[in-house]
Amino acid sequence: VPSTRALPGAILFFVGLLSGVRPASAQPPAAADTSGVFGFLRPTYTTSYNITRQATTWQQGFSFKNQWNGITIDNNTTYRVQSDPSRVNFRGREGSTTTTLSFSALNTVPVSLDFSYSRLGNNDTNVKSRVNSFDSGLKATYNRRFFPGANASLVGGIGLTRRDTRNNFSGSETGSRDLGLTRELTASGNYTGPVPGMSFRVNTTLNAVRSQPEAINPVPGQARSETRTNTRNSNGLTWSWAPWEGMTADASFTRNGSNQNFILVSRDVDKNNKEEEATDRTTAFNSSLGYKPAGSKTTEFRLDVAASNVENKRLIEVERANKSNTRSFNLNVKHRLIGNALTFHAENTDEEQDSGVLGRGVTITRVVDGAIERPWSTTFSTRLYGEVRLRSQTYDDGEQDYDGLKNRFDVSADYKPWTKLSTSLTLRRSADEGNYIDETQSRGSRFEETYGASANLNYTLSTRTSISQKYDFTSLFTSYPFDSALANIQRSRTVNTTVSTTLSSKLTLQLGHVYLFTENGGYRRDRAGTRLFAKSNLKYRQEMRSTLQYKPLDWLTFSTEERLYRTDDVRLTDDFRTTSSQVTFTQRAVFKRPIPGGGDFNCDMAFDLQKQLRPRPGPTEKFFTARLSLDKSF
Amino acid sequence: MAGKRSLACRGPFLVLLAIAVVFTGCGLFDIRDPMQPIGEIVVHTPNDPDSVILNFALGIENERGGIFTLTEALADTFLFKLDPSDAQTSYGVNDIFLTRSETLDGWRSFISGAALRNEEFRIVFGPPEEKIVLVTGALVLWDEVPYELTTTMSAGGDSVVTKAVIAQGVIDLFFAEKGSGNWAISRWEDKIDSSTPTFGARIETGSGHPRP
Repeated sequence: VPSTRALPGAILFFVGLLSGVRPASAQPPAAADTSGVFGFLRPTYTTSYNITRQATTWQQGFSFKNQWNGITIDNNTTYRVQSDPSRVNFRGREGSTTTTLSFSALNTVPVSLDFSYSRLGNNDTNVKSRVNSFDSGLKATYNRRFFPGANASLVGGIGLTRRDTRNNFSGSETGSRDLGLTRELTASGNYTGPVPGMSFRVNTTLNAVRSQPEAINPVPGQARSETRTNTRNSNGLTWSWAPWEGMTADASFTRNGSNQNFILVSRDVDKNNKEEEATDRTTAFNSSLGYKPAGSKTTEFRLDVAASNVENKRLIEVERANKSNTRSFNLNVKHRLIGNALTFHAENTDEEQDSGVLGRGVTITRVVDGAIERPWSTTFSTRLYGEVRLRSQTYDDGEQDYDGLKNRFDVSADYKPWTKLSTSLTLRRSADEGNYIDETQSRGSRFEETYGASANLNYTLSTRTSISQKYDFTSLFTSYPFDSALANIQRSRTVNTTVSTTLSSKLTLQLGHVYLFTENGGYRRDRAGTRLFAKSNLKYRQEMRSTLQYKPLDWLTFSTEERLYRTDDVRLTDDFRTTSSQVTFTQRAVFKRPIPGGGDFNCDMAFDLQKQLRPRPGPTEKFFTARLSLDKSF
Repeated sequence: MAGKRSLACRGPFLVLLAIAVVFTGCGLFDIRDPMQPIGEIVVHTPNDPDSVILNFALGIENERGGIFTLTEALADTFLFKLDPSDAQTSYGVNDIFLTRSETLDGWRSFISGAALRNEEFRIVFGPPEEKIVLVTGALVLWDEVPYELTTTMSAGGDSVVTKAVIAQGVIDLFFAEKGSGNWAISRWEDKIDSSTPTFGARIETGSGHPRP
């Protein structure tokens, strides 16, 4: 049993040993390599440090890859530390390192050695958890070319794997350990032909691990698990054909499966220490037909047809078991016809699910949408967009049955009368009907209808100053089929204004204002069907912001921003008004600079002050947000 | 010229319209009518975070009949962040987020367990350590909210009643105002607070969240 504690040292020793190997004189190192660490390694170091409201994450990465004398060494190491001051004792750690040594044996058989070690750990007041895993492997590859266009590859491997899981819940330790012998066999073949543009690929992989999982703290009397073989397999067949330029057709069939036995580590005492048996099978068929003329941006056709079957079985955690069958087609068409850009999309997905606890059900998703865009002149264009979307789910128990239908229709126009002014206008209508079918849920069924209009205006006053405004008007009608008293209307109007001006080459100022007015209330229909609106609540929301940005250097930016929010809620029944307001003040520095010799240093730091002014003055909150990252190639 | 322009305008539109009519007009987009409802759940108008949390508790107490109430209490973009230790135990990584549908599936699965069918659930939230208005009228954080999910089980009639705390923890709850002026929970960050499993640990197994 290899000691996992000694592994990092062993890997470092291994790397150190390799560092003493001299490059062969027949292949003199490039001049640039002599500047690397030890004269030949060229590692890359990345690190990032984030603070958000005093919760920190520090991530580090180190990787290198080098090749000499036909030997390649590749290493990737990451380490992450998390802390959260609102959880006094919390500290999370994740680390992993993977090293691959590849070389060619007997001049024809590529061989690789892999070492991978990862460690996950969390400390909290009552919980400590650790997961350590180590994988090692030796792989050999044999490639064979039978005749032009046909070749095959065979990969065989053997290795050791170890996984230790330990959790300590309030002083009670539980966990498992598992040491296994791994065997892996992968075979693949490619054939290009028999007609131009056609190719076939077949591949199969079998991975088997023989091990005897063991609970570190078994229940008295619990027998040790028997030695078992956990397997994973993957098989695939792919066909593709490009008969002529722009036309493609392909189809693939895949079948993946796994049988895994392991000891469950859980705080659920009914499940902890029990041996789980998990069997997963996925079978999938995907095909597509595509046409896109070379260089065309306006014409495209693509049809995707797919089917899949998933079957997951669990012996203990039966909630995770499920079966599903999915069939789908997806059609996308794009074409320019007599000056109009047309897009059309149709989709249908049928998914049958069967779960031990949720029961058996079918979910159907159908979507049809399309758009017509037409540029009438260089300054004026229009767009029509329509969409119908259905989601229908039917379960054997009936309780989860739901049908939802959404319709949407938009009309928009863009007008740019001269270079300094651009405008747009959009009118929209949508309807969203959601029916919970079963009698126990049906009270929640409802119908939402939205009408809206919005206009945008962008005007360049001068070379230094520009103004933009957005107006929006929306009416949302919500009704409930079984409770007409709940029917309500929400009408809102929004005006969003932004003025930007360049004070000097390094100094810019932006002023913004958002105004939102909302009316809420119930409605009923009179005999003619007209909605009679009884307003009950009004809401006024305003936001003012000013941002001053100073950029003394290309890589350095300072900014200061002040925002003032105010919300007034008015209850019309008794004319009761509630006013809340808040001010925030943010100072920010952004630093982006290349490092001499390669690499980048990025830093984005912000200090926020936030204070509630109304209805009651609150304490001033201060928090710090920072994102620092460093990428360095040595 | 006028005829050509007219064709340019109408031709493609008619083609799209014809295809759309074929797809939408032959019953493929018909939906079922809901059945006449039974029972009644009195929910609070969710015009502030306090009402939302009351509705969430109502949804839990009403079990299968409360799924709609729970759905309404969670925003469309709702995310349930598992405690890092729970995430690590089940998924081998520290950061796992369940979507709204995964969260609801997990809860539905949890209360559908054969052994739990005769149980009644109740969730109680304690006062938050702090209520922080992140954006006035739009986003609110309730910091460090303690909660307890209890179950009451009757056996042998009403004479024997057992009550147990089956989930416990502390959460950071984010509330966002939905477009309709109502509020909903937009994020639940679960934290282990004792040796009792968290709500997240209880529901994640049935959530269907894929393992990495």
